[in-house]
Amino acid sequence: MKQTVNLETRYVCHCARVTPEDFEKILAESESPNLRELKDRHGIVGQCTSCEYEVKGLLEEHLAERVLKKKEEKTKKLPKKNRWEQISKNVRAMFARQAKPQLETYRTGVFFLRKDGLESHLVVSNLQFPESEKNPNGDHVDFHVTLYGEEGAQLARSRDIRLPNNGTLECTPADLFPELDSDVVGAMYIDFDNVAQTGSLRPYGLLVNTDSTSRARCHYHDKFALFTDPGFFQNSSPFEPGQTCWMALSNCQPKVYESDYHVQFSGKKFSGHIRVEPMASRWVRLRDLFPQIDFERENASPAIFWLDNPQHVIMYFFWHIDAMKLWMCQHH
Amino acid sequence: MSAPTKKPKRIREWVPSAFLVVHDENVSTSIRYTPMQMRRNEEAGYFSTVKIYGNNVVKPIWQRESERLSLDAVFAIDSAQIARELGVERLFHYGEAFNWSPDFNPPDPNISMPLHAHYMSRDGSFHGHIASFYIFGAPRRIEKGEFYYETFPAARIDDELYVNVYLINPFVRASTFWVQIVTNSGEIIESEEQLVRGKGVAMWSSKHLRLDPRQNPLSVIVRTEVKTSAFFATLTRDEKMIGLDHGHPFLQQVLNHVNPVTVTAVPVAGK
Repeated sequence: MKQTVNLETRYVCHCARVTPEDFEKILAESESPNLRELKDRHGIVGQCTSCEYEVKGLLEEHLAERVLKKKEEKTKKLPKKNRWEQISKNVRAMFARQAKPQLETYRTGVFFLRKDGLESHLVVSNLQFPESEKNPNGDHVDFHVTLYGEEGAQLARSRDIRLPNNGTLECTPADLFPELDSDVVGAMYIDFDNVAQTGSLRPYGLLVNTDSTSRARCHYHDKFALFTDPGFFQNSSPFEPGQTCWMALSNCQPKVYESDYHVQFSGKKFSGHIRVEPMASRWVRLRDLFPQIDFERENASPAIFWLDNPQHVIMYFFWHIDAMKLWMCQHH
Repeated sequence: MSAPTKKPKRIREWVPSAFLVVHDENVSTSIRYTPMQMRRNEEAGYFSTVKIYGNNVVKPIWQRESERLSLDAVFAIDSAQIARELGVERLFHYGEAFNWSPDFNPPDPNISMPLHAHYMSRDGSFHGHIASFYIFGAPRRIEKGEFYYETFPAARIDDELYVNVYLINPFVRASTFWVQIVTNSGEIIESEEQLVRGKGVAMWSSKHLRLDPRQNPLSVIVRTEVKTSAFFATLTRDEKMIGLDHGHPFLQQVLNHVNPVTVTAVPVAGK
């Protein structure tokens, strides 16, 4: 029989007609809930499999919650003698925490530009989780920003900045580095001192226009990392008609980033080489990396551009929409 | 008594990711997948299945499968092609991409190989470039309570600019959602209850609001019943899009960019 689909339905699994309430009950009543049991006993994820990933996600959350609950119960159920031991252990742990708080420095980074009618702002929100009574980071967070230039030299360090709970900041280069008045291509490194969690603190760069040549208010979030990437830094829309693509690259590591780069389209491949010193940055129009290509004659879309070296760098691409004089951007 | 059996090692499997496809007389979406973004295995072959959903949450209205792709291949689909084949002029639809390899399982927590949606427009109303969103398995410890949340910092809603919020629901059930504006003066402005249907997309606009300069910049919070993904556009009052980026959930961990952890959503303690 044909089943009608209610667009506003709340079923977790359509085929088994299981509502979120039913699903919670099934999980709660099971001794050790798992996907196999949900499939075999309740028919969940058994047919069309459209709900597979929500079911897996909810299952993981339930299991995590169960672990937390078990920990709480274990403490409660301890025999009297053990309970005293546990309490004194907890007290000792509490004093130890007070002596040395479980706080960490959260360091991250974003590309920075002040040039050609554009400049990068830094934006940060310190929001309390809406269902929590307080912000685990306390009444405020403190951070400072260090700016490195195109060749990797440290150019400036901001004053210490305090951001209250539920506050949002948008800092211009003049706010952050008042002593600096020249054009800069570089990267901002943000150090949050002593935070308990990242929460909503992930900072974004924000490219805005400073004259009327073009318009931009492009958010681009932090991409700092010291690991090796599993794939390639790549761009599958490097030469779209009517758009000029720029690469923003900041080497956030204390070692040189050196790589061959390539573009491939219509069965042709062109290559070059780039070297970026530690902490240095580049702001480069992609077509300028390939002087051997006559872009007026070649149809270079679709194309793929990539760099070989998987050493993590901070990387974004910005597109200028030439006819509209608008900017857009994204990280890779 | 039998010897205790060793717990089998969990094998990672490829999972899909979700995106928004937009198309009309002025706007188009170029959908492109390259295995290079997430992988470096040259020996392997890769495949992509792209599905577009309409009213039926269990049956896509359009589907395209790639041939076997090499590492440096680009599987490209244009929204004009989808619209033409569906016989419609406009698309504002939920898309899902299952990008995978039959030759190896994901060797690390990156179990999804996203694609990129490149939005272009003749009238300037929709521009951006954004990766498809994780549905499951993002390696972050996310804070959740009764609802899921995503945040976006330093938006502006004033005489010159406003913000649109786009929501992608990868699950079969519909979700209510609310958009909260946390102004710089601490006021919280919350939208009416909104609905994003299963395997659907929704948009909420702040165009009707004009806030005082002292209330800007502001933060945007999206509260949802199910774990959706949100992204945010900055528009000028003459309807030009000058920014498009995704938000982030509240993170319970202090992000360590040296050794990323592999934990998914964890409920708020005590909830």
